[in-house]
Amino acid sequence: MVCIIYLHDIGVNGFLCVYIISKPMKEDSKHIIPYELFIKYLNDELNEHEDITLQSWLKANPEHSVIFDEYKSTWNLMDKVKDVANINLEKEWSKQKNFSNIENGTFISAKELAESKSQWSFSKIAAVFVVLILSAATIYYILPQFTQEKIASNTEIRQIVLPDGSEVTLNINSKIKYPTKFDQKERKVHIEGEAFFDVTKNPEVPFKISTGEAVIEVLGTSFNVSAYNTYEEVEVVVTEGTVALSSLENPQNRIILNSGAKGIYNHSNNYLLKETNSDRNFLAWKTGKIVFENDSLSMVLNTISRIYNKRIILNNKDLGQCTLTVTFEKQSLESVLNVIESTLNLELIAEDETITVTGDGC
Amino acid sequence: MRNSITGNDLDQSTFEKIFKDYFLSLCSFATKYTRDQDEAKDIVHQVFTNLWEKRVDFHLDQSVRSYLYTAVHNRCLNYIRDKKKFIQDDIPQTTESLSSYIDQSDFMEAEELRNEIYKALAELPEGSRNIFKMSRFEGKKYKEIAEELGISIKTVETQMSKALKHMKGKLIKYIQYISMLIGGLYYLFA
Repeated sequence: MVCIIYLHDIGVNGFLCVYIISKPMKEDSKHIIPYELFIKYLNDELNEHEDITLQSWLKANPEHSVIFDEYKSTWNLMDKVKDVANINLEKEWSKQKNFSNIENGTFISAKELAESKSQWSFSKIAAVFVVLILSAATIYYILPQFTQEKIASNTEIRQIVLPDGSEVTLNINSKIKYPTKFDQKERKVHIEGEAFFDVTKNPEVPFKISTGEAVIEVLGTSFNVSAYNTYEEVEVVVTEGTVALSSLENPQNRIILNSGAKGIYNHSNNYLLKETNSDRNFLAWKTGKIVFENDSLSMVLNTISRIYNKRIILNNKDLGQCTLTVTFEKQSLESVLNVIESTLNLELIAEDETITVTGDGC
Repeated sequence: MRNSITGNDLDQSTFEKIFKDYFLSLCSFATKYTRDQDEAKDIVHQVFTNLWEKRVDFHLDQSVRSYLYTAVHNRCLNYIRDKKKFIQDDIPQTTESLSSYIDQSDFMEAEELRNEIYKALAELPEGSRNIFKMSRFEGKKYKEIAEELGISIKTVETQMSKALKHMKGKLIKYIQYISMLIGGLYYLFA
């Protein structure tokens, strides 16, 4: 139909349109079609002899190549569904019936479904220690030797490999500076923010991290350092090995931390403190695993706020006392909020950088 | 096929119809964002679960089709945004830019053709459909298929021929349309 119009508008060009349209192939008894040759050609399994046969069939009649093209096009058309060809629709419908409690399936709410499927893809990172380092003073001291600088942006954490093979994971808004090649006597790096270190063992060349106010010397392997500019404390939590934490100004002021210990250096009051780490979620920013055991909602929200980098407002102060026991593993903020919502019968609304929590109580 | 749902119209059989009409295309759409088919399927299942749960409150001015695409699109963007926080290699990720290249309306337009293909495949008897899928989508040779299924190569080839003939018969009008369009355009601009 369309081409007839073309014929009038275009003249010669229109003739070709008409030609194509008038050629639908009716296969019935008119032509003998070598399907077996077609399917072998399309699956790239045609041997030489068969190829010759096919070629001569194609030459025998001009309509044959049109027919052949139609089958080739059909085959190629399958590309449009290649990405979902493996999905069994009936099976997926059965799954959906289950999720939706249709026909006596077990009921799973949309929230539970969201919670049970992890939307996390994440590779394993071996070592864990986080170093937060603050303070401008140290930068002037250390700067000249640090030719490499890596920064984690405010949206993603970042993993770096140092010249000696040590691995560092930077939390968001954190920075590490290090030389292109380590010194023979000491391996020195500088950090601002929070990072987790897995240091290559080398007792002959000690690994030292400066944060501005404190110096962390690595005697073993894995620890977390937290040293943000806005806090007056530098915190080190050790997961494996041994670490020495000292003040930059008074290096004799030094404590040794073993696995499970937390060291705090407060630089405005100049004290060094050692305690056992009681924060089970100190590495959640990196591992994605958050564990709460009868923890108050205020504590839970503080942790969520820190990990997901969002401000949380509690509309009803009494809610802070509600307790929660739950474990999250590499879950999106949305699914974490959904779980808290449904467990404590609250409403959590997330807008840009703020989350508001409302409810009647638990 | 009905395109709009109002009030209490969403009963079980309607829900089933909607699911079967859109599930595959929505998964294809979601996979463009998530790059992982299982994640994509999860997202689409969640959207349908949500739709069923809220069926009593369902008031739509727009069609259910664009509602579904929008819901999937939003969840995919959330997925990408949350995933970015935990990426850990030195190469900057380009998942943010990916979302801007996926044109929802373009994708939806090609849907009719995809649905016809799904339908044509579904109409094949299970045996020949399986063989067709193994060769066309898994790239297996007929000998491999014969060995895997424990049948003769001749049977595989016969089944393939039947399947191909069926698919061509069902999809011929789309092929003709496409070649007509291409032929017409070529001569228009040549």
